[in-house]
Parts: sequence; C-alpha cells; structure tokens
Amino acid sequence: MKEVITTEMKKAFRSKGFLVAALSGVLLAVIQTIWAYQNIYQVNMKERNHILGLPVTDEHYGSWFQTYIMQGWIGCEYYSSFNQFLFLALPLFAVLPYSISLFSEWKSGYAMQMLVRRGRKQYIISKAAAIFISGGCAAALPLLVSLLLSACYLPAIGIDPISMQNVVGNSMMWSALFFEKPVLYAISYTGIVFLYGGIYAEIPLLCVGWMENRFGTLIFPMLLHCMLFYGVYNLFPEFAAYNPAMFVNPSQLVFGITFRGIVSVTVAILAVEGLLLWLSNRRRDFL
Amino acid sequence: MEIKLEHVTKKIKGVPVLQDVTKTFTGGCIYGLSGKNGCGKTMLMRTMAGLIYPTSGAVKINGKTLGKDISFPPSMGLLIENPAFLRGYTGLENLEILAKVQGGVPQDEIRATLEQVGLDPDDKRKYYKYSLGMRQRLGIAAAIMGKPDIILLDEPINAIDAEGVSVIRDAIRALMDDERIIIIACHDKEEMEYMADTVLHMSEGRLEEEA
Repeated sequence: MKEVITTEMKKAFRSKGFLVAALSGVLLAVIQTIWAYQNIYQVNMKERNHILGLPVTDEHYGSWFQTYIMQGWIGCEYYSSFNQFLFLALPLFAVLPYSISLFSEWKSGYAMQMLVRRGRKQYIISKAAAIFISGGCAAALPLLVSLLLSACYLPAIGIDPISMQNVVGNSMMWSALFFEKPVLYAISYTGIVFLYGGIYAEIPLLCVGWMENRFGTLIFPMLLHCMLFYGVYNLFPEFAAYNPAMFVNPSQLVFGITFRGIVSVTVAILAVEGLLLWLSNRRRDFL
Repeated sequence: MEIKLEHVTKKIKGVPVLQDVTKTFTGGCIYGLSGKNGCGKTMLMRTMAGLIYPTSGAVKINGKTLGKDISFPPSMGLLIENPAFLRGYTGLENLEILAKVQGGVPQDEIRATLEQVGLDPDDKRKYYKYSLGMRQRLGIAAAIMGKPDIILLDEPINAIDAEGVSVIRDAIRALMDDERIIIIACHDKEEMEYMADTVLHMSEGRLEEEA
C-alpha cells in the first residue's frame, strides 16, 4: 500500500496541474500583498505621520490604530476583492492538481496497469489520498504564502477591538485566537481550508463512472460550490453557519459558526464521499 | 498455473459479447486467439484479467474464482488494446513506477526488459514523443517485466516493423517455461501460427475450434 500511495503522491505533486494551481495561488497572494501594502499599510502609515505632525492638543491626536498581520492576510483582508475571489475559486484551485487523474487514467487505459498490479481497493484509496492532499495543499498555499508575505511588513500582534477594523467579532469562533494569537488563528483556519480543498478535490473522483465529460467533471465542484454559496445560502439563510461555502472563509461571513458545527458537517461530508467512492468503484467493468 | 473458464457469458447492455466460453489454459504453452474484429478476443482477455465481471459463469485461476476469492490474478502482465502510460515520463521512468507498484522488480531487470523489446533504457524522450511502434514495445515491456505467471497480449505486433516483430517474437519465446501461460490475440493468422503453440478461434463471442 505504501508504495502505491508514495507513487501517487509523487505523480500528483509532479503534475502540471499542481504547478499551475500552485503558481496561480502564489501569484494571487503576491498581487494581493502588493495591493494591501499600497492601499492599507502605506495609507495607514501616511495617516500616522499626519497625526504625529499634529499638536498634542489637537482632538484628532492619538486616533490612529496600528495595522496588523490579519489586515494584510488574504484570509481576512476584506478591503479588496481578493478574498472573495480566492474563496469563490477555491474548488478550482483544489481540482487542478490531480482530481481528474483517475478519470484520465481510466479513459486512457493506464488504470488497467495499476489495477492488475495492486488491485482496485489499493489503487482507488491511494488515488483518493493523493487527490485529497494535493488538492488541499493547492487550496491552502495562497493563504500560507500571503501569511508569510504579510509577516514581512506587518506585526503579528493582536488587533485592538476598539479600532473596529476586525472582520471577526468577539463572539465568533476562535475570536480569542484572532485577537490574541492571530498567526495561530490564520494557521488553524488554513487547516480548515486545506480540509475543504481536499474535499472539493475528491468530487471529480466520485464522478468517474457517472460522468463522461472531462471538462464537466472538472468544473462540477465549482458549480456545487457556487450553488452552496449563492443558492443554498439564499434559500436557507438559517443554516448558513453550517454551509461549507460560508464557514470555509476565515473572515467568517456569517454569524453562528462553531467548531463543533464545522466538525459535524465535515464528518458528514467525508462519510458521504467515502460511501460514493465505494459505490462508484465497487464492481465496475473496465471496458 | 491454470486458468479455467467455466461457461463464461458476458453481456454488455444486453448484447452478448462472450457466449458460454469453457476452456482450460495450462502452463507451458503459448496460446493464440484468432478471429475477426469484434468477435470477443479482447473481452475474453479482459475477463481472464479480472477487468470485467462475467454475467454468468466463472473464471478460476489455480482454483480461485476471480471476483470472489481474488480480484485479479496474483501475477499477471498484460497489454490490451493501445498501451497507455504517463505522458510526461520517459519509458524507463514509466516502467520504474509500475515496478515500484508491482513490488520488487530490480532496476537491472527493468533495463534488460526494455532492451529485450528493442528500446533504449537511456532514451531521454518523454512517452508522448514516442512513435506508435515504440509505445507498443513499451507496452510489451510492461507486460513481461518481472516475468509474471500469466501474460496476456492483445495484438502485440500492431504498428511494429518487420525487424521489430522478430525482436518481440524472440522476447515472448524467451519467456516460455513449464509454469507460464502466454495468451496472444492477433489478427495476423500467419504470425499467430508462428508464435503460438495452440491457436484458438473465436467467432461471435464463442470459442469455436482448436487448430
């Protein structure tokens, strides 16, 4: 089993799809950082210098607040559209690396080589593991790069709640972390994004055998995500805190998100994915 | 080594592609499968390989039923229809990946297998730059690598030049021993008779006669 998993991992991380997803993610993070530097940090520093130039008796003196790492991090930077873009395109980042590989290998006949050597179960499980991890990495990479870049010019200190510049309110999930240990908050939330990158990346694997079109298989997770983001959210706003398209964003777009809720939804989704994976590969002819 | 087909019937979308095939293949013999296109040669090979499940009947490998006791024959190499490999890897890298998955095929043997089918192990060209004949040779190399007990070759000399055919023929012949079963499907009757010890004829999904 170990040999098959390492082989699949190598194939996944050496794939052109992973390279494209990783480069796109890094590029997005770099552009966002430049934007944030110019439009958040520099503007803020200009304001600071202006205030410092005021006499101590001026009523505006002292009304300046330090910008900090979370205001530059793409996960919580909500002044620009980069965050919305990243989290809308998240399934695309996730499926690009390796999600289509089983579909392609099945169509080309390469899967036959693997099946007869290691059996259906080992091959599919290894494929699923490689798809999950590569998809998760591709989704989480922009967040990690953005965090590192933000750390280069912004202090990793907690924000002063009085400044009202926080996207996460003090009654929201992990608010203590957000205010006191923002880097830990960012890393923890990147873990959730990694998990959902993996979950989205698995969807095309489940479509093998049901869908015939390569592009359709690749775009399906994105459509599902849009449906959750726009359709399900608008139809059932009371369940928004349990909607993965909502809670996957570190900005916590809706109230009521809880860690327990995320764990419950994630376990349920993973169980459904596991069941579908088993059903779609149980006894399928290799024609 | 023994492959036993017991009244194997396969229907795809209601259309019978194999009809009541009963035959025992034993080690130490090269079997040839002949017949027109669409007569069921490839389907029979897929069934023996465990890639498709019979609608009725059973395929037994050394007494163990495929799909019940075992999923696939434990030691098998196959080339069915067009060979398929990873496009961005060289021939050697492709075989190394398969060898790793297969477990325990040494590097020397991989290189020797490539040479045996007339390919250069040090060729740096990626698979997608291979000609049709080279792809076919690599497919045969993958099938015979590690000297499996069962070798299934569907149209192995497709797209291979005359010189190459004799190389492949020698490579296949060199593998023959008392235990191994080699089954070759080929539309070229003359070549088939040259390569196989026993030629079986297929027609409309039935294994008809033995020549």
